[in-house]
Amino acid sequence: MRKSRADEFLEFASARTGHLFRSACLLTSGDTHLAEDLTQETLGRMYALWGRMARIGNPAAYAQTVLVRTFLSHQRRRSATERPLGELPDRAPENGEDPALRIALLDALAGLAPKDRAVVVLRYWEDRSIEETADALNVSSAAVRTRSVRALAKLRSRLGGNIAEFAAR
Amino acid sequence: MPQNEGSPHDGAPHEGFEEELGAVLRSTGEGFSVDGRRELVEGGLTRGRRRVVRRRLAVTGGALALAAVGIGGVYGGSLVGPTGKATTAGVAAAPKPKAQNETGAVDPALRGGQAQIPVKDIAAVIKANTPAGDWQFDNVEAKGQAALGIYDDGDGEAAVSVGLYRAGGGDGEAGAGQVECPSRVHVDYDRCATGRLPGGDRLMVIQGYVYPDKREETKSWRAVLLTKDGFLIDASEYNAPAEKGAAISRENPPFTATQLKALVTSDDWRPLLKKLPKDPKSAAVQGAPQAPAEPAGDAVRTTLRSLLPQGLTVTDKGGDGEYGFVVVDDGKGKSLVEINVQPDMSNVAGDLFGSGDVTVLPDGRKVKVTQETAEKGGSGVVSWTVDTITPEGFRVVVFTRNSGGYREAATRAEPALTVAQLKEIALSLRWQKLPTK
Repeated sequence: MRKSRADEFLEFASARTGHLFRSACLLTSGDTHLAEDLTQETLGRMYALWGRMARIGNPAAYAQTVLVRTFLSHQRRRSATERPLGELPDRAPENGEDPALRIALLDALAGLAPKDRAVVVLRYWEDRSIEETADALNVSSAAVRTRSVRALAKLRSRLGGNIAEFAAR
Repeated sequence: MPQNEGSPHDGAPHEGFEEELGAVLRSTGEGFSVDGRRELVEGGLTRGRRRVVRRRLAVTGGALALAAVGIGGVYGGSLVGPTGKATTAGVAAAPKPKAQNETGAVDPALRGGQAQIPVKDIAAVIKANTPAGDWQFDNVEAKGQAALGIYDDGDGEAAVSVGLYRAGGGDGEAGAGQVECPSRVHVDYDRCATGRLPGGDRLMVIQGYVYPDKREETKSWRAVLLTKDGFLIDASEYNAPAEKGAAISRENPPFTATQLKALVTSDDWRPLLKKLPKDPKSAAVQGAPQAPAEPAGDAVRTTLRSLLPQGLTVTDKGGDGEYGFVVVDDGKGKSLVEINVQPDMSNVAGDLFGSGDVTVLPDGRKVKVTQETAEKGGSGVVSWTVDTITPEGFRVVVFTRNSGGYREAATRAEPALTVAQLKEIALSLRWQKLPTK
């Protein structure tokens, strides 16, 4: 029994880890070390509750929720000083990618409060609805709306026109 | 990924911007390389197992420093951070397959027999063998094989943990990795020393960091004793009241290396060690979630060495099980060369070989070559990978970079081995004939 449970978990983890890691990279505004840590922590938590997964229904979505909560509790626990922008991915950009815009986006994300960043990542990277986002964060829909509007305004002011230029390509 | 249509994004003033933001977020997110995925999965698995162990030990608390649950594995995971920090450090970094090793470990949670040592007895030995100070121990009423406490000598609270384990195999050999200093290729630390004590026990003392990249300043000091009759006594201390997530409370952990040594070498542990459940061998079998035969011992490492081109000096080497690495120098600068030999990877073959520069050989083996700027290390570090897999899912992947380690700067423009040489190593048929466990 255990073995098949572990196999199932490995299959799930192999399929989802890449996406989890990328989500974590956005949540941490580019701190890939922390993102690795959060991803592993999330997988560890998923493993520990894997036996009960049948009742949870959608493990992929649940893992994203676990990731966001892990991220937020990490933020709460860490000392008051927010670490500045973490290590940037230093690979060569691929076609159509604008490294400057990547940096600007990660920088702008870093300027958001962690919870606002989580809202942005859930809504615009995960494409979750306001209600789903509220569920994941354990807050009300109204709170998500408020955070969303505030975060978008901030991102817009920091990213300015170059984001539209990118999107138009 | 689902698209935006379904989500009722409100906030009309941002409508157009929302779409643009979504596009940029996706492009940026997808720009993060997920090459280290397998290592992340393994790190996650290791943490998950520890989590299960913790739950069964009924020891709670976010900062539990249950060191070395996966005894018998390579060092890394339990070394600098009892919850797998080294895995993290090495993760996308070192393709260091610890799960397999830890799989074969004495993982009490994955078998029935759980150590039933009263935590208060462990706490009493800790207290009796350390300098005077105030102690608060977690879960003193519980039973298990590890104790976690907070010690305060007046200079700041510090988390301290001690775990008692049986080394794998019962002959002490499987635990030997626990008392060897790790290679600095993978883990950075301030000091590490090992030695054999009069009487034959082996001791390792290491002073490092919870996060080997030192992104937080919490220090992790640890002493591990491997007794000649096959027990491991593993003590860790921190300069913070918790391993992670707590601000540091003092410059250094409270006990000196000598004091930590005195703690792990105390005879007071003997009666408690006798209570550890026996038969780790069957545990290893039962606990193994990945059945395929893993290459035995240092076969991977030695074969890697034997397949290296002529004219290279090996300046460092290591690895265990399916993983091996060497640091080579051809006189023009160091290069790290790593290999994973993984017998049953068919379940992820699609992920690994689904994209990129993949060729198929006449015998059906797939070969994928990746040359990229390294994700870690100083500027100018490049990373080359030759990944191969047989139709049966037997994978051999060789990595190299133009630096001597993950946190080191480039020593040369390109790695010492060419892609052709890497291919030659990865495609050697000797990998499929390695002795297995």
